[in-house]
Amino acid sequence: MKDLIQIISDEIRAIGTNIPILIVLILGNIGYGFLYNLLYNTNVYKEAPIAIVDMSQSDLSRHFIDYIDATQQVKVVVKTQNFDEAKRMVIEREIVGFLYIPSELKEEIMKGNQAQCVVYGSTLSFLEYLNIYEAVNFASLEVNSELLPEVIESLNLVDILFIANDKAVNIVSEPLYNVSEGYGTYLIPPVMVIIIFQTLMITVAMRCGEENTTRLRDEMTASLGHSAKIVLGKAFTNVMIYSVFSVFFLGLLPLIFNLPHLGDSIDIIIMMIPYLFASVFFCLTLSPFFTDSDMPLFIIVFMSVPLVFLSGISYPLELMPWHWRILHYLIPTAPATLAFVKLDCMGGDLSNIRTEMMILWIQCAVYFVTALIIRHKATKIK
Amino acid sequence: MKNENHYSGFWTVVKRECQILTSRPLYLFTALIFPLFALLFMTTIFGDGMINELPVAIVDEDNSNMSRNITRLCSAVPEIRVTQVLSNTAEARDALLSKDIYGYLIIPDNFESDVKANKNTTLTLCYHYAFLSVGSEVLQGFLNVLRTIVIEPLQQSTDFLGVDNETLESIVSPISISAHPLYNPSLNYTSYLTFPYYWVLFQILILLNIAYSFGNEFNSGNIRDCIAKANGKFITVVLGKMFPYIITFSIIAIFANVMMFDVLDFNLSTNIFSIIVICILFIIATCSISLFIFSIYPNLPIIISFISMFGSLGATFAGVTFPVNAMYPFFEKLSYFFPIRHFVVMTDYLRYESHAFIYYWDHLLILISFNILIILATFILKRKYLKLGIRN
Repeated sequence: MKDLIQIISDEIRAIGTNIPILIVLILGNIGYGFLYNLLYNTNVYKEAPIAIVDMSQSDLSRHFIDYIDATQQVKVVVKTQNFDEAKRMVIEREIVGFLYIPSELKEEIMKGNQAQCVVYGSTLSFLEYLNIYEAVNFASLEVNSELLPEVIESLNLVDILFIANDKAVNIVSEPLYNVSEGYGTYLIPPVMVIIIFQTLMITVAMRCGEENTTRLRDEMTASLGHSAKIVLGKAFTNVMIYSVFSVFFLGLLPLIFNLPHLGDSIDIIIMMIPYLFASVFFCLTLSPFFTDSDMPLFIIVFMSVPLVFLSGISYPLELMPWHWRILHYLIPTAPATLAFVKLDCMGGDLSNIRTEMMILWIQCAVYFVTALIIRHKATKIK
Repeated sequence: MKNENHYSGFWTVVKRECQILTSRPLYLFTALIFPLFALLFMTTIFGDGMINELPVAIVDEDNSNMSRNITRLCSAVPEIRVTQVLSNTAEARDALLSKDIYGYLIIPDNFESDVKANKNTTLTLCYHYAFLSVGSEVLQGFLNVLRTIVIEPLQQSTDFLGVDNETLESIVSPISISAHPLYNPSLNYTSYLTFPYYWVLFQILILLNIAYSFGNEFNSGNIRDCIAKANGKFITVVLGKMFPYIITFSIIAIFANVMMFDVLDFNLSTNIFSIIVICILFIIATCSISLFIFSIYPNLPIIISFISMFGSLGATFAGVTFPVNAMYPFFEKLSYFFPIRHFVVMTDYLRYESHAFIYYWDHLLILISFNILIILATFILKRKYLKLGIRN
């Protein structure tokens, strides 16, 4: 026990006197945390510029356009009768898409036929496409319900006028767990968990790299018990430090930036314990690759985008090929991200994250053993 | 004679850099294996690229013929697949939290009898929006089914009046919207994300490799030897050290483009040569900005952390998922300092529009302008080196 306390205090001293590690810890964590939140703080993509190719030029088409313009998703910046002009504007990125309204809009409807309007939306960003598609669909539903009695009367089908008054089936759609339907509120919570993993990995790996280059390791002892104490000492030190940063990332920032924060604090703490330990052990297992203190950044920063994908937040895990799904179970951040989203964004409790907790504890045990073997072998070699 | 010296100095530095690159397996990973891993990852991670057959549930509180019919219809659209029929909302919420389903439709008690009696009734569809892309697919899937379902009960009431299904649909939805997604008609995620995100990953490696290469020289003091080999010319050191990297990365870029556009048949509206040229220009611009950032504060551990952050921000400022013009104006302006932003704009044109040079020449000019930073960085590094030399 005395040894362990000594190792922890040595480790704290080593971290506290290493300027690059302190920079990553303090500036990196705080800077990253605030910057990412600010980048996505606008949250919802509003008023995407669109054009309308209005070949109808009728009061009905103008009414329809007014409805579209009133939605928060788009802003009608041009009304034209020139299809090619609208196409050119898309190419020049002045608009994200346009709606084509046919010339015989009103006539067709009054004859009892459907009038086809076409949405041409740019898919260079799927958000842009969704905006124009949703806005036009919403407006069409509103105009359609307004038109119903008029159409029935014009077709002389007054016998079925009741369907205009009796909406037999209403449809209500309810987006769950992201009430503002924002991009920031969707992306930032998982990204915070990934940043914790990344900067923790960088800190631990920089220490390993430093030890590898300056041969600071305790060369006197090669007993398995002592190696275990070193591994545990390093883990406890980093978990203690990152407990503070976890409160910053998962407790404070969601409050400052109005992110979803439905989880019970105790549940989140219980989830974070195996996550932080598994992350440290995982990093110590990889320590032979960290041949100097700068090398870890290559691997860890390079993995930032893949980690977002592997968490299954942006693309469903079950649609990925099996070999990438395996990676999801091997890296602690993937199940932890999912568990955190379930707890804090979806308001779940520990019973809902049983699978993720099991994976994290298994990772903890396995990576502790592998970290111990690696450490023990390294001291033996020396 | 002077030119000859300059020429031989350049090749000596190049040879020296190649020796460094082959001296440790580490460089093999950072300059070759990782970029190829990124290519493998980004081309395969999305499977076939289509978000289809997402598991959903029906909360059938009615348990009638009509509700069973709705369940059957929901299974028939490609976006969703009914995996569970549940009796209450609590079970559905649990399934959602366990990630067994991504959404559910609530068919209320007495649904069929209410419809037949022409009473108002409501179908509620709930979709998982903490997973944005998945949620919007579930919503689309359900809405596609429900459009027909809404008409179905009306049809029973209007049948005897001789109003056929088609007329009824025209009456209920006189304005019909058809979608024409430009550039990516099937809304395929591989077509959408693979190319730009491969380059987001690659630029992180380019940035780090260059900063690391120069940082190591300054950190270890080997820069003196390098300058001696370059016949005292600092610009020769800079160009000679960058040259092997640019060649290696360019070869990888050619391979990646051939893989994506020739083998995997990604959409490309222009010839592959044009996109390779833009990729090489992007590689050089990224090398330049990495060198420039390093020259401002040539302390390896600190600056490499900053460059890591710069590289990671490239994923955001590329503007592929969240448009940069949707961010605060300051960040939109800031994105112009990231070569990846210009690269994505240009390659979007090359991938989807032929003869589009007129639309992206300004971005090309900015990308080329990044190379001025090489001269600036050389000047700054030389001054810092001389200062250090005088102090020593």
